[in-house]
Amino acid sequence: MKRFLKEPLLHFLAAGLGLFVLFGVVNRDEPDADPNVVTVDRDALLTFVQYRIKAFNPTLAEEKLNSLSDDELQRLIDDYVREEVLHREALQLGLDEDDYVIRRRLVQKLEFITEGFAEASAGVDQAALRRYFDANKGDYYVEPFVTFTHIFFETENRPREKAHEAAEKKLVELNRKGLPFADAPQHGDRFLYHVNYVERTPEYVASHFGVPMAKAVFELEPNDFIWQGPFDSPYGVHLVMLTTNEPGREPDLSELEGRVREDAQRAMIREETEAAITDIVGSYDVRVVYERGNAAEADGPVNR
Amino acid sequence: MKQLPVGPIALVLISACGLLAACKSSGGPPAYTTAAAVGSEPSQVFWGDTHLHTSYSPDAFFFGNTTADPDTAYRYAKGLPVIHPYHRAKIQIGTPLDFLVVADHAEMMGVPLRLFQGDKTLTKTASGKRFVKMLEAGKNQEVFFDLITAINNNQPYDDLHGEETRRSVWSDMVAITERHNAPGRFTSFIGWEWTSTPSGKNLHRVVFMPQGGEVAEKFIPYSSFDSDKPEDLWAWLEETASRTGASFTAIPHNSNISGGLMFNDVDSEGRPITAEYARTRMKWESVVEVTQIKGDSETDPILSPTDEFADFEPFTHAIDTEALKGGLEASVEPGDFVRAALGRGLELEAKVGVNPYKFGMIGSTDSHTGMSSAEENNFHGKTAFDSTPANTFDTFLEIKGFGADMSASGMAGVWAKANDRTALFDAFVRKEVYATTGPRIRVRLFGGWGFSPDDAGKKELAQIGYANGVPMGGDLTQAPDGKAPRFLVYAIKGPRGANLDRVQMVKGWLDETGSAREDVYNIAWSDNRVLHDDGSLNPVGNTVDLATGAYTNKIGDAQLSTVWEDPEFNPGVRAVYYLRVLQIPTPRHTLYDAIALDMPPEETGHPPTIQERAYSSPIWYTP
Repeated sequence: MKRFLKEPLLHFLAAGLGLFVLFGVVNRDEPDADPNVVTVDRDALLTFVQYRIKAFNPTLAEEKLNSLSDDELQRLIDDYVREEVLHREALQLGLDEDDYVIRRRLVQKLEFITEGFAEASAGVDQAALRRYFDANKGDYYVEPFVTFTHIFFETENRPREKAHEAAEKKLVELNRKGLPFADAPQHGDRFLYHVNYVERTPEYVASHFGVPMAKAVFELEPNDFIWQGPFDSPYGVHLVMLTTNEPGREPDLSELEGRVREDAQRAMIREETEAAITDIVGSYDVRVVYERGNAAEADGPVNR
Repeated sequence: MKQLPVGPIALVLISACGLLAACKSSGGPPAYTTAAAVGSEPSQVFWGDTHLHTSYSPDAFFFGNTTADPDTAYRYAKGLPVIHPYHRAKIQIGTPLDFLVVADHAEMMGVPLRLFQGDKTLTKTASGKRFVKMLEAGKNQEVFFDLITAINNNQPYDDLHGEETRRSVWSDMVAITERHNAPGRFTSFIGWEWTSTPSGKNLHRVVFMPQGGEVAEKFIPYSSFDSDKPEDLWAWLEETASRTGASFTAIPHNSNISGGLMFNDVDSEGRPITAEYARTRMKWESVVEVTQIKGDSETDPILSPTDEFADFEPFTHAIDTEALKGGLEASVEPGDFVRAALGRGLELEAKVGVNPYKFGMIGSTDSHTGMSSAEENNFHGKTAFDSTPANTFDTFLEIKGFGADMSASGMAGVWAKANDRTALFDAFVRKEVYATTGPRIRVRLFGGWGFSPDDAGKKELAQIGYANGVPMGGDLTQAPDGKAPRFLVYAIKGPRGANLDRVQMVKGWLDETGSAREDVYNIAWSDNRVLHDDGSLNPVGNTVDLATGAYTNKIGDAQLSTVWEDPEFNPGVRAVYYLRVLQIPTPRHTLYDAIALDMPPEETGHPPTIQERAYSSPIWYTP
């Protein structure tokens, strides 16, 4: 059972998160006699804190340790235990010497690579894909977007009322003539940013026109023939021809199957990795003997 | 217990090119529309970072970035929330980037990461075994300094730098980069950093290419272990380009800590610069990174004593190859700064016939967190460790020049017709690119002989610029009789950014003795200020509330445009012109940290506010 539980750790290491091993190795004068006992004493925590804050200064570390809230302390202990356990596992698995488990795993990997993508993608079947998609629909939300062009009346060199008057007058003219979308650049003043806005989100439009105008634009009905407005931005007054106004939506799985599959695979790897670690840690008997404010404890930890 | 389906190598395969629709080769016309393609502007500005490190870079890894890998880097750049590698909180970029080059150090790329993961290829080597033993004995800190010192001293452990490891790490990098390339929406470039630091003098270059994985898999990145001489790098680029069909551009950076070597007047062997040297250099290094987190390299008050804005984000800590203990003061020589280099280029051109320093300018971050963050109010550190307010001011490691000494800086603006590898790369080659210290200031610059003052106010300014002149990065010559060059200039604040204070023209030119000189002209400014007789302007003011970090756009202008004619033009004299655009003062990242820590701003040791800026690529005049 022990061996069985331990194998996923190799996967975990292979999955690229095993660097915790580095920080899990701490200065211990005397290791726990029982390899399945993790003793969290003052020395261990002090050393651990120094690696964590990347400052090798015992006084500072001591201050830091004493200043932790209960929650923070618990988190520190959890982190320490996790790393200590993983480190011991790594040593036990013989990562530092040749052993059969690693040989076997390397062979498996190589076989896997040669089998290619088809095999790899088989990891997520259609049902799993659907489950993942349903559970994570929020990640695939397509933001609302609009496509529009605009004619600008600046207010840097004239009062805003005058710009409004000019815009109102122009609006009548444009709609009488039926000025098409493509001819917009021939009219009005120079705007700081763009003339045409193609498939732009509310946030983007707001960054160029301000929030009130963006809101107004996103409430317009699309119409290829009608100029609408005027609208106020911080820079002046605008007439708008809006041709697309797509509300935000949750797309179907079929539209983005490739992306969802990739994400699901990543998620699956993450989940299994975490599950494996939880299993491993669960197989240990963790005894926390650190007590705050008890410096003497450092000399003689209990539960050895 | 179920078997995990894939290990790291297989992971890469899943995502490799050819499996996803987004992976296309970069030839042919784009099959998508962009705002530029359907808009009225002849070109569009795209924003990116050509210089970002991830957990694959040994120094990044040792400074706390053990988890933000290239994939995380691309996700952050695209606007997705990610986990910060140090404090583990969720962070997100304010405005996503249009393109990104993950440029991890070629020297022992991915080695510490894999060593500590227990990669057998590494742990079975003699050095690997030694490090594992040290780790077991709890000597992590020694391992850390040992490896970093080896890299900085250019003395690798050969057995940790074997072909198998290098190829495997590079394949991972290439595959991740390919997966994130989405022409028309987001461009990822394959690249790396060549980290040459002879005697602690920074000669670093980022190298990137427009081709995809099928070409990149044909080589392993050239590292400073192969050679620390730029001439050798260029020879390798030449050889590799002709062997594999790759195109490359190499971008020098941090000239500010190069000990005068980056833009020297001699080559690596101490011989005078020749035409051949100049031609080769310009073939591969069309663009320089002028500003980044580790300081601004435009100029320095010592070199430009009459320039009132020259003292901007100086970074004075040279790389110490001994034990990372810092303390070496950087030099201030003409070879260290871009403005002096542009002038030196004119001098050398007059002497040998070719200008070795005829480069465009960009900014980039050089962040080591995997997060391309150049926003002062959303800055995530140079190293992962620097990412919290307390650590910003933390000097426990006694390493000089960390945290607060650095600035949230570096963006590359690229004028192109489309957001894809080819279109963006071509803009680097023709130098139609420019730098900002973080804000998305739009800068147009055209040089010509026939612009009329009205053109500055015209709606079709860009069309006029392209039709009647050359854009930034271009050349003017053959001045018509009695005419001086005119520059059509248009600067616009970033959509979410602060207003602009002024636009300045920086001119370099050669005097009668053949020595480079410089002038700075105020050419457009906000708030209807009046130019003084000496050409200076009153300061724009400062709206920053030091208690809250808030500022307003009640001062400055949202846009500044003008047509400027050189009043002291001499048609017989070589000259170079570039724009510097200044924003109104806004908070430096250390002010936000001070506010967060409830600490008086003056205790930060840095100015609470700064005037962020943009530098255009130059336009050259050659008689």
